[in-house]
Amino acid sequence: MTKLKAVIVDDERLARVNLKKLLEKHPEIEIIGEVDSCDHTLEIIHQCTPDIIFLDIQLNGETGFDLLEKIDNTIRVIFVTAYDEYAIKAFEENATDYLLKPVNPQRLKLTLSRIIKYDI
Amino acid sequence: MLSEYYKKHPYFFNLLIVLILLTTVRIVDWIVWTPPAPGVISQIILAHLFEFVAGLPLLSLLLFSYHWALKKKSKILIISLVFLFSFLGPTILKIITLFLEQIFRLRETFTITFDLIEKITPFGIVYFLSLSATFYITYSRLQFIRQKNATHKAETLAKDAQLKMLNYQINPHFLFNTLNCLHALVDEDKGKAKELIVSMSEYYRYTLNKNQQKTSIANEVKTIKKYLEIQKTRFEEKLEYEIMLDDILNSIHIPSFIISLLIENAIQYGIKSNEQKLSIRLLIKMLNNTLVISVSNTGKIIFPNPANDQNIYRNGNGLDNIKGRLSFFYADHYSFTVNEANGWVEATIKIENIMA
Repeated sequence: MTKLKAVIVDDERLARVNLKKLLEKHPEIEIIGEVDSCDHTLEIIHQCTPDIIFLDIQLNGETGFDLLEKIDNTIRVIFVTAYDEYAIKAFEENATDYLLKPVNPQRLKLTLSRIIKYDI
Repeated sequence: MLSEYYKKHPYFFNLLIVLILLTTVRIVDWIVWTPPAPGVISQIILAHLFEFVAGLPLLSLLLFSYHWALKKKSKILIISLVFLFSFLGPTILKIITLFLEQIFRLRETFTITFDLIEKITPFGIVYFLSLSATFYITYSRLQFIRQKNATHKAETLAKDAQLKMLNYQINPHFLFNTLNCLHALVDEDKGKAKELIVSMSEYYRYTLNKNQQKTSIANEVKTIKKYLEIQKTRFEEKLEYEIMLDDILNSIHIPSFIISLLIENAIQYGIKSNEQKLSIRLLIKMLNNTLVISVSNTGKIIFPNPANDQNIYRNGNGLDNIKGRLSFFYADHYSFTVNEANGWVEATIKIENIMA
């Protein structure tokens, strides 16, 4: 089975560390990069097309929604954010899932198993 | 209808009522003490109505000059005006009345004599003193109401400021991002995780317990330090801050949460307008008897746009609240400005002659 390539986008280092630790427990996921801004994300997307992006909404001066407009919609986007006020907007923008910080490991497991099972 | 006009022009209404009363008393007094021939009554009433009409421009003059004297805040000026009106007012009033009577052919001619002035003066003094007294009573009553309203407004604003701070702390972004950060720190650096828990507790304790209008600079700055430490743990090298405070200023009391609200704004808007690193600077100093509080952040001024702001937990940026409370406590002796220059946004509060 080929691993799913994932990128973590968050402007807080500790938030990235958190998610990375959780994802490391899932052998079906390979983290190919972690970045802190929209520009760096675009660079990494051009270098190696990821399957999943874990995306925070508040990114310094930008928002995760700015990034969505610039990327191919075949890439699955999972929002990881502190609060659910943007949830509806996220799904309108074709988000695959919406996780809340601090991420519940059980909830993350559910997200990943859905992606693999239904190939969404 | 009438009550609305009364609220708009309370002085005029009160004085008018007194004027009507005085005229009525004079008419009744005349008729009772010197019963006139039946045909003359209407003439007498008419004469007094002329007196009433003549009183109106004097009334306006009195209102205008008393207001002017109050603005100048000079007691001597007010007292001299009262004397001036009491002694000259009756004479002027009589002359206008006589003049009106002549126009309407109630009187053939008249000459101003000392005898005439002497005769009218005692009642005239009472007449004008009553008007002055009415003015003063109206003035003090309005002052009292204004004072009560201002105190009430200040209390509301203080509660509002506390609510805004609470809103920010209970703001899900701040709370859950900090918890998320704590989650990572537990593995990475236990010491730092413990520090963060203590900072959060102290920070929350300050605003949850305090319900005071004013607080010492020391207290306010202590909380700001906790808040900045929490944000520093989250944003790490992306945030740097500097606090410059002269220790002798620690005991000065200022309206609570004012600096906290400015710092919170500096972080909130600074993060949005800085792509790389955000610097925050707090400077509190005394300059020629004026307390200067300056909060600066790198970036640009961003005006809050309620239509675009999706965050329902934020209600304005608190600047109106800050201005409102400063104006209550310091009237005209303060200034509040926000400037942008050389890549820095600076909010400055200056308070003159503040007491330690």
